[in-house]
Amino acid sequence: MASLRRTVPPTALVARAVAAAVAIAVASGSTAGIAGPARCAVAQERTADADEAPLDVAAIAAYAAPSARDLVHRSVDWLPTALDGIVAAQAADKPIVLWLYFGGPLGDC
Amino acid sequence: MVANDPRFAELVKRDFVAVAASDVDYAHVADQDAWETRWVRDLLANAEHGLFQGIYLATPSGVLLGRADGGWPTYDPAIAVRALADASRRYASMSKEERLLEHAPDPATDRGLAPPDDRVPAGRLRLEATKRTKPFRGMSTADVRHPQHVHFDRVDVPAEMLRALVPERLVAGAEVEADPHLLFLLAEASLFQPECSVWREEELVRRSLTARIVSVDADRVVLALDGHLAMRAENEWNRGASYDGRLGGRAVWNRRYERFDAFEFVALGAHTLRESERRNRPGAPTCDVAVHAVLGAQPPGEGSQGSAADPARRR
Repeated sequence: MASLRRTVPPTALVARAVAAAVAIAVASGSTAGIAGPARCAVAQERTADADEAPLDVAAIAAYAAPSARDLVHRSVDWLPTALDGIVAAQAADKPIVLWLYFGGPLGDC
Repeated sequence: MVANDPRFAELVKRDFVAVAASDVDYAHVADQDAWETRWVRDLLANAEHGLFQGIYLATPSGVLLGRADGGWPTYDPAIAVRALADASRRYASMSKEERLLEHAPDPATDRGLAPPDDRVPAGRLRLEATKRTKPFRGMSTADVRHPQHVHFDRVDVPAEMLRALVPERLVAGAEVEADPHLLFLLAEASLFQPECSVWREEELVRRSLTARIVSVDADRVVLALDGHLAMRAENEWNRGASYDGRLGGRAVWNRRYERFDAFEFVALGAHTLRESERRNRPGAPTCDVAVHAVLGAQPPGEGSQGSAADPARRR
């Protein structure tokens, strides 16, 4: 990402960010676990004196970590370009799912 | 909500070839006459928005069979699954001449877009991150900030910056302050918020990250990370955005092999949308974001200082 930002004009990045926002919304997300114990713990963690309290690494990790459902898309063998997909689909005689977003399900945004 | 639906994933794996690419890349790639670029552009010439983001279903011959991204702004997996089934039926009903190309394209000559190089650059280490917001007032599932969405990200940072988090004296209580530029690299990669935006280094108004040795046990040096980050964006692309957060983490440095056996970085902070984005989003402009990043697999020789050889070979 850091190297990307050195080579892409900021205006293009903003446009890509908008696209990425939609893409990520599709690529990820699960209704499971929002109210789970770890998530509640994090939600209640920030208090008036939270600024000086060390973070609970395990609680934050548990809250931010993807659920099994969040990772379902990674079971698919996503190819990185249309050309690679066309070659594979032609050989397998199958149609193509062409996921076109900046920030796709590969987590490379 | 589509890609992580098990029914969608199973159908894609069974009946389709899957491609994940960027419409922006195809729109802006220099060689617009390349066979691949023309295939994409021609495929979407009659689509609702032309060459635009979406989940499209196509034959290798370039016939658009449909779209699987119905239900915007909250995409509906049931619509997507129906679209896949419809596309499969239509594909099966087509003649071989209709659905396939006469000749497969040649990757050596027909590429429009170079395959992305996913390797970690030499001298860098990859932090793989996940991010999720806390519930906030007025949140909507149509907003990527909704906590039901987990966000995946990654950033490649100079290996020496992480190596510098290990104090010179390997004794409990020894501390060292991180290179301030490390936190800018993380901010620049939008690691502290759900989506991407532009940050300038001077917009980091407070930044600190201290690594302290908690214990030393034989070759294992256990470190605790603690810090602060505050940012105030003034650049034209992100004006009014801000972040106030606490940083933390834990790591295990293996002094025998001079590499991290484990490295976790976390952050919890309040991110505020830029001014121009606030009217477009339901709910509060500020929400808390939890971030968890871990060190990815370290290639042999790239652990740190170029000396982290495979331990198995050093026995």
